[in-house]
This record gives sequence, structure tokens and C-alpha cells, in this order.
Amino acid sequence: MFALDLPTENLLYLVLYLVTLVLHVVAMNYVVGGAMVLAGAAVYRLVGNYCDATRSIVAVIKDWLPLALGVTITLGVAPILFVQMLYKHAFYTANLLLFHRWMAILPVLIVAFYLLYLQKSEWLERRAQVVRAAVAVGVLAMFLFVAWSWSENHLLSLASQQQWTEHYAQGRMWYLTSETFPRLSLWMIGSLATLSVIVAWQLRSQASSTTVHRLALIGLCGAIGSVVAAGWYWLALPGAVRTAIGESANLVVVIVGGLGLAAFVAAWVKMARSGRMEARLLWLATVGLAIAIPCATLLREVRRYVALTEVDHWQPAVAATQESAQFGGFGVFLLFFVANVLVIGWIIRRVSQQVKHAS
Amino acid sequence: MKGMVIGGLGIFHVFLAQFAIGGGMLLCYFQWRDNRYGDTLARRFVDGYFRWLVLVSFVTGALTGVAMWFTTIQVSPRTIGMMVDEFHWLWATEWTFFCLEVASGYAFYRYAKVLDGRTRLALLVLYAIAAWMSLFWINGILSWQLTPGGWLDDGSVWSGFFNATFWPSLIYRTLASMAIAALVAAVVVNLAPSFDQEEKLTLVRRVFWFLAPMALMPIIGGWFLAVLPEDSRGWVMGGSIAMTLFFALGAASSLLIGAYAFAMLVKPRLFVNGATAALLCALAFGATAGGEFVREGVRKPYTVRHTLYSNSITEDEVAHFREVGSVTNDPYPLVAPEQYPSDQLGLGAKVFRMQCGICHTIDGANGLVHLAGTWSVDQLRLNIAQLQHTKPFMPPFAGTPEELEALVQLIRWEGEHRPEQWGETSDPAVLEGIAEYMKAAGTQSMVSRPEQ
Ligand code: HEM
Repeated sequence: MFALDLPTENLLYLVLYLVTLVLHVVAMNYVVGGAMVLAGAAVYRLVGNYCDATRSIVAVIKDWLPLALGVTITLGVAPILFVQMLYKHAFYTANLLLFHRWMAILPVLIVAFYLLYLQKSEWLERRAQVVRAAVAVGVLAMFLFVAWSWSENHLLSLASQQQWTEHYAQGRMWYLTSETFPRLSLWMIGSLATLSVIVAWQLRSQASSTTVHRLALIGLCGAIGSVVAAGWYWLALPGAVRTAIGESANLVVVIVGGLGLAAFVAAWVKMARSGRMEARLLWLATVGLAIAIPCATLLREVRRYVALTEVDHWQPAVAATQESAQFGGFGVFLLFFVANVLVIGWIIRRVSQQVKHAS
Repeated sequence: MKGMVIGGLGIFHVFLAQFAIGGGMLLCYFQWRDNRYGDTLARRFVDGYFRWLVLVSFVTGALTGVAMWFTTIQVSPRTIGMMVDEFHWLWATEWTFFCLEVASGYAFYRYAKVLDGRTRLALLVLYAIAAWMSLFWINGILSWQLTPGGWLDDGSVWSGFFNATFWPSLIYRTLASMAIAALVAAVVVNLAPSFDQEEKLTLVRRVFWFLAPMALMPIIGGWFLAVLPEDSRGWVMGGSIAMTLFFALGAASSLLIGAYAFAMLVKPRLFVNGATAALLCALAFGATAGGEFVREGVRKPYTVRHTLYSNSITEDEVAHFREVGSVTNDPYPLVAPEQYPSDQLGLGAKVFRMQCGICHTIDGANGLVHLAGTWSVDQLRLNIAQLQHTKPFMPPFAGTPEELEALVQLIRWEGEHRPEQWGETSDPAVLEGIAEYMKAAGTQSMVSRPEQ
């Protein structure tokens, strides 16, 4: 399997990178999927009316989206630390080459963040429907831009020195390859699957059968759409990456991930048929997704390893990471990590008790 | 030039971050008053002020924090790479506190209205601790850049973290945070339509007590200056006009705020209206700007003292680049190379990009043409060859005599408004002369570490 020949220290950073990236992806999925649903619903509202189920889904997403964005950003900080530990040269080069284009994600995110607060405000509720649709579509466009930038930056970080040199010499602002759109669509469409499960948990106690149908539709669109996007991406992948994914150990990851997705689909189909949000099935969809997302994240690294292990910078980078692992502080991190997880757990318990009590 | 961008962004981010830290403390105090005395005014203040804190600090504060990281990568990937290598576990520790900040902050934001007083206070205390702890961790990493101290000898993370400027800057920033939070609170109170005049007076007086610890600032500032390396202290104390001016700006702004706070606290009926509060906030921003400019500036010519120069060249690499050239192995060509009429000018442009471009432009802000435009060609050669003597806050020139001459010609060509024809230097005596100058200047910075 890819990466298993790395020194132990590097593997530790890789595991931390993957775990924290998965967390970031889950939160990001809620943000992107939520923005898609809100934009779709707002545009639909220009021509028709919502049913109660759509209204409740839209309301809950609107309400939680600012927090979800805050969490996405905070959970993005950890993988950005570990990505630097592992792939400094490649990551920094892509950042520098995209420069203004790359940095643009920050003002865009600030504006999008405030628009999310605006979107849930009563002030906007009182505006014309077309204004509300414009805000919702604008927010979605901003998140798509940010996601595109991450994919673009990632793909550029995997390009060869010759491609970097050309990019710089021609003063290009964009880095578009045949991989960009299939890759981006895989991330974006897949986010609907995650969204469906999280919103299902949020609305579980009050979900009508129409709500279940709506959420099943969102979830199944996400799952089936991501399979189609993955097929498209497969066609765009460099041959060496396809060969690497075809190797037995990586193939196991594909199969396990596929089984996770199948469980997710089966659970939603059953819930859609019964029109009820059964805890057992919701758990099945959740676990299925909890398997599929890490598998997808792991396979994402295969693409990187095929590209990076061939370049001159790779061995020095591996050695540098291994050396950095000797620097102290791990114990302190572990201590505060555990302590802060416990405290956050306490906050959630205490606040939910009091909220329950009050209601 | 990019350095100025990071400076500007840094000031903005630090101001917002300090507002969040002080804001957390201020809210704890008011919530405590509510719990202890049933002070409903304090409770209303907490609920109103917290919304501002979330809207400003959670959104813009968090994202300008990420922006700082991205900008630092743009300015000097090598510096941030070194910081990440050395301190990644401490950065990861800081991240756990970000998570706590988000969890406690949002829990309060969403549910404060239905929580009992004890839980409200607990959430605010956790929020304030998390915000302050993020200052604690980042302060150690940033102050290490200026005074790496024992780390230079033993390479230990903790020797680097608890360095000479760690405590004074941590305490100073804590005091600044309290002051900023109080001043922003005075603006918020004045803007809030829900408070009547008497309530505004009461609240503003209470928040102004958070300015009282500012009285310690001169002592802590003095402590900071006392533990600064001698050369850095020299820049602030008149050695560099820009730095002295910024230091004076910071000190004068703080003094004005302090004087106003004192008057306010001794005169019971004195009221701070919205306009005055906004003005005081602007002064606090000025003080932050002064302080941050000085903090960034006194590190020069290093980004990590005695290790890495501002242009991302290490002390050891200077001698090496003088042998092999600084741009010999640069894989990146020039953008639009046809604009340079000779190969020598193209080489000069590459040398500029590699060694100078981080702080200077050619012809714009801090432009070389303006700084060195009046020098004769020989002065240019001599002054660049002994750059670290010409201006001790600049690193030594790290390239071959050919590269230096190419840079000299580039500055002259740009100074002459880019004529279409420009001859190449062909006299070997010129290069020999430059080599002599460079040899005499040595490869060490003027503020390099004495041999151990
Ligand atoms: C709504 C905002 C965001 C969206 C929609 C988003 C989306 C994405 C996407 C689609 C990827 C995968 C890229 C690919 O593999 O092609 C990604 C990766 C990543 N994101 Fe985010 N992101 C957001 C905000 C952030 C922020 C603010 C940070 C940092 C603080 C961050 C940190 C990361 C990191 C470190 C990676 C992995 C990069 C790599 O391995 O090269 N993200 N993000």
C-alpha cells in the first residue's frame, strides 16, 4: 500500500493529517451541501411554494450554517499544519504560484460568512424573493470558488517542476487541467450525502414522511452523483495513478469505501420506502458514510504519492519531516488535546441538559 | 513589499484577536456581577456585547488569522516552514484551544438565554481561557523569532518558547487586550439603543476599569526593551528613524488613552460618548500598529535571529552563494524577460527577486531607485558589497561579484528610466574590485552572534 514505506514518524503525521482532514471534510460538506440546498430552494421559490418539509430543512440549515462554517475553518487549521509538515515544498510552491488567486479565498470567505448571518436574519426575510435568491446563490458561488481554489491548489502542488516553471513564466492566474472539474464535482456532489445524514439527525424527532423523502433524495443524489463523478474522474486520472489504485491494497480501500457507500444507499432507500427515520437505519447510513469518507480521503493521497515520490524534493522532504519529529511538545499537545476534548464534551452535555430542561 | 502587506494584515489581525481576548475577560466580569448581585444591566450588556464579539472576532478575527498564515507563506515559506518544523506540536496545542473557543463561544451565542448564571459564567470563563491560551502559544513562537535565546545552543523547543521576550510581551499583550476590549465596549454601549443615558454612564464607567491595568504598561514595555538584543534596542531608540517614530506613535497613543482613562476614573460624572470612544479606539489601533511595526522591525535583518535572514537566506548560505551564485540554480525564469535589453540586466532582475524583493520594490514603495538613486556607480558597488555595514538592519549580500554588478546595473538602468540600449560591464577590474569589497565586508551580519 502507498506510504507504508515511510518512516514511522512520517506515518504518524500522515495519520494525523488524514484524520483532521476527514473532520474538515465532514464540516465542509455541511457548508457546501447546505449552500446548494439553500440556493436550489431559493431559486425554486421564485416559481413555486415550499412544502412544510422543505421549509423545515431550509430553516435548520440556515440556522446552523454560520456555525458549520466556523467549524469548517477551525477544523481546516489542523490539516493545514500537518500538510506543511509532510509536503512543504509542493504545498508552498502551489501557494506562491497562485498568489492573488489563492489569497482571494480569504476575503471571499469573510463576505460569505457575513452573508450567512444575513441569510438567517429577519431583515432579509422581509426582502423580495429575488433578493433572497441572489444572496443564496451568491453564497453558494463563493463556497464553490473556495472549494475550486483548494482543488486547484492541490493539483498544482502535484505538478512537475516544468509545469511550475511554465506557469510562473507565463504569469498564469489559473491552473486548469482535465482533472479539475471531475475532481471538484466529486467533492461537491458528495457533500450532499453528508448533509443528508447530519440534517436527518438534526430533524429526527420532528421529521414527517415528506421530510424523510426529501432527505433521502438529497442523500441518494449525493451518493449516486459522487459515483458518477468518481467515474468521470477515473477517466481523467493519469495512468500511473490508475495503476496504483488498481494495486491490491489500494483496491481494498476502494472496495471498503464502496461497501460503506452501498450501506448508506441501502439505508436511505429503506427509510424512503417506509417514510420513517428509524434510528437503526440512520445509524447504518452514518456508519456507511463514516467508512466511505475516510476511504475517499485515503485514496486522494494515492494521487499525491504517485506524483510526489518521483520528484527530487521527495527524499529530502521525508528526511526533514522525520527530523522535525524529534522536536519536543508532543506530550503537551496530547495533554491539552485530551483535556480540551473532555471540556468540550462537558460543554455539550451541560448545555443540552439545560436546553432540554428549559424546553 | 510583501512584507508591508503582512505588516498591515498583522496589525488588523492582532487588533481583532486582542479584542477577542480582552472581550472574553470583560464578559466574565459582567456575568460574575449578574450572578453575584443580580445585576440585570450587566446581563443585558453581556448578551449585547457577545453578539459583537462573535460577529467581529469569530468571523473576521478567525479568517484574518488564517490570512496571516497564508501571507507568511507568501512572504517567506522558509520562515514559516522552520516555525512549523520547530513548533508544530505547540501549534497543534493552540488549535485545541481554537476548538474550545469555538465550542464555548457558540454554545453561549446560541443558548445563553436559556442557561443558568453558573453555566453562562462557566462558558464565558472557558471562552476567555481558550482565547488567552491561544495568545500564550502564539506569543512564544513569535517572540522566539526575535530572541531565540537558549534554543540557539540546545535546539530545545522549550528554550526557544520561554525566551527572553516571552513574558514581557505576553503580559503587555494581555494588558493591551483588556484596554482594547474596554474601548470597543464603550463604543458598543454608546451605539446600543436599548440602554438609557444613566445605564450607559454606569456601563462605560465599569468597562473603563479594564483600562486601569494599563498603568503597568510603561514598566512592562521597559522590561521588553531591556531584554531586547542591544542592536534591536538601538533601532527603537533612535537608530532607525522609522522604527523610532512608530515606537513613539505607539507610546504616545497609549499615553493618551491612559490619560483619558485616568480622568474618567477619578471624575465620577465624566462620560465618554460614542465619538470619543471611537476616537480612543482609533488611537488603540494606532498603538497596536506602532507596536506591531516595532515588533516586526526590530528583528531585522533576520526573520529568525541568528539563523534566517529576512530574505530567507541562512547565515551559512551567504558564503556558499558568494561562491556559486544565489540564482544559479533558480529554476524560475523572469516574467517577460524581453523587457531587459541585456542578459546582465536579466541576471540583476533575478538577483533582485531573490535577495531584495521581499522588502523592496525597484521603483515604488521602499524602492531601490529612490534609496540608492543618488549613489555613483562605485558607491553602489561598495555599498551593496558591504550591505550589512551600509545599513546594519540589512543582511549581507549573498552572491557572486557578477551578480552584484548585475544588480548595480539594474538599479542604474531603472534609475535612467529603462533606456532601450544598455551596455554590459566588461572590465574584469570592476569584478575584482567588487570581490575585494565583499571580502573586506565579510559574510557575517553586523549583528551576528559572537563566536561561542
Ligand atoms: C467553506 C470553506 C471551505 C471549503 C468549501 C473547502 C473545501 C475544500 C476542498 C474541496 C478540499 C479538497 C481539495 C482537493 O482535494 O481537491 C479541501 C482541502 C483542504 N482544506 Fe478546505 N475548504 C474550506 C475552507 C478551508 C479553510 C479555511 C482551511 C484552513 C484553515 C482549509 C484547509 C484545508 C486543507 C489543509 C485541505 C487539504 C489540502 C491539501 O491536502 O493539499 N479549508 N478543502
